[in-house]
Amino acid sequence: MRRRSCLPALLPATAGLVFSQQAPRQILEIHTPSPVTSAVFAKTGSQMVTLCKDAKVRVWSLPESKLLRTIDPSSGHRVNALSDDGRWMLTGDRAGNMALYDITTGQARWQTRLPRYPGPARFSHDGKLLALAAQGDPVQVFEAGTMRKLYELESPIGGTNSIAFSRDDSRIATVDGDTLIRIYDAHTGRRLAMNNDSLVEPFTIDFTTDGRYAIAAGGDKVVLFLDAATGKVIRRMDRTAEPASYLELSPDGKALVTSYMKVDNLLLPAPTVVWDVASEHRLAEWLPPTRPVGMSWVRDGRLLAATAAPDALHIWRLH
Amino acid sequence: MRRHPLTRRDLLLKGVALGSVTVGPALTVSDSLAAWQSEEAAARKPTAWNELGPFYKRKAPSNPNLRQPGDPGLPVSVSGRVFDTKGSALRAAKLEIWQADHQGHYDLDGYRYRATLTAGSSGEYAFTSVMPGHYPARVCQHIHYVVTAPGCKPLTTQLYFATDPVFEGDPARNYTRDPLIQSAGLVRPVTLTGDPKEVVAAVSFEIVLERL
Repeated sequence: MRRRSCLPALLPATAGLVFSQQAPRQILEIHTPSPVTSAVFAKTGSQMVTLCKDAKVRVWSLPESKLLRTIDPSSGHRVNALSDDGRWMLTGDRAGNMALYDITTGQARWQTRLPRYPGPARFSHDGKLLALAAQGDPVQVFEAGTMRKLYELESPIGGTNSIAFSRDDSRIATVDGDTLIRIYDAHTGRRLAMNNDSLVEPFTIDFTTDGRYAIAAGGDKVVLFLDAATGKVIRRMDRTAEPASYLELSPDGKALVTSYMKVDNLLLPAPTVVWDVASEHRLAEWLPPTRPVGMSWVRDGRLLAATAAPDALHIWRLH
Repeated sequence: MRRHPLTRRDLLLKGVALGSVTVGPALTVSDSLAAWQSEEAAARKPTAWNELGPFYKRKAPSNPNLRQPGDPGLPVSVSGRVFDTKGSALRAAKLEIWQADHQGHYDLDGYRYRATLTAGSSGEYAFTSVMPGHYPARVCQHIHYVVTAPGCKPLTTQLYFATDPVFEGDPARNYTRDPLIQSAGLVRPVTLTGDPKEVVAAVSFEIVLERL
């Protein structure tokens, strides 16, 4: 992969929306009985799960904004992961109590207790595997149908910040507290590659659509493209003013979204940028009115984000 | 019949009686017991885990003076020793520490308020810094630690200050105001010393690692 242009560092935050090639715009407003604290979009784009301040999980159809179901997990649970098809939802609380819900029935199908509160969790794209970790502990990989534990990944100091499956679910990548990026065989849990180029811990990772490269970013304020077979960095995007807390490649692999964090105050909203992967041109830049409570590409190629107001959830199309 | 678990003392005495524990000619059973009991007394509870936090940066310099001359903020000196749970001092344990400056800002680009220290021959360590400010996304002032030593389980933890206004003078009761603090033992007393115009805060923080 070859970088084709140089871009200036991320501009200082600008008030309001900044439109470039595509204008991010609000496409839905959903009135909610309780303020939403997190929203997770199913990759189908037809369903969204919200966690509200009243501790209830609400399942919505999109774009109808119809409330399909209300699930009442034990108090204090948060939504940790949603399968791509929107059927399975993993929740957990600060005591480490975890529950796997079948969204179609609203029933918990599996429960367990981790040694401490949950860290990252991710379903494989086909929904057959579930990778999850207690904060600071190694990632455990389960067969999602039976919740039989298959294996445990390595145990980095500080645990794992984020997990990604390759699109064909053959590989798992993690960005870890010890600043390393690790890539594993998803069938066996064996480590295939590792990268230690980062000085500050990376926070977020994804794979290119063909699985040949992993893309990671974090405290070093640079997006890295790594060869998934060797772990070697083969491309670096220009350094930005703030670190990316989240990145995800579009379904067609042509666009990359990076959401930034304000290091001096994580509570403040920070820009989200959509990049053209080949040229590194900015396709869109969005400064949300408040910190987004959810963001994801969906299969039809739209990039959706959610921001919360006290009585409503606003859904944005960023690309 | 109710069964009482055997203490280590009982086990030793039974072992001697059964011949499965042999006491050398220079030692009496009471000597052995005394030695064992002394080791038991030295045994320490492992330091409570706390999450790594989002801004760990490796390769921090080994300079224990995190506070540079003229740095604003309350000067603070932190010292302690590193042990294992048997009470043995862990010479050459590695401590990586980092914190926000007095205004709650972390330095990601450089190594301000970051250091890698090596414990001395008695497991001792010390550094000088400034009292960290309140980071907006966190409740309490804190200093991050990663501590490693051969043969021991690595520890990530955080040091908190009993003087933090969040605790309203009663950290034992109020430490859970920061949901990340799951042990009151991580909130350490602060001793203020020095001239009223140049007050220095001193904190002692002992680290105990679990053996692998």
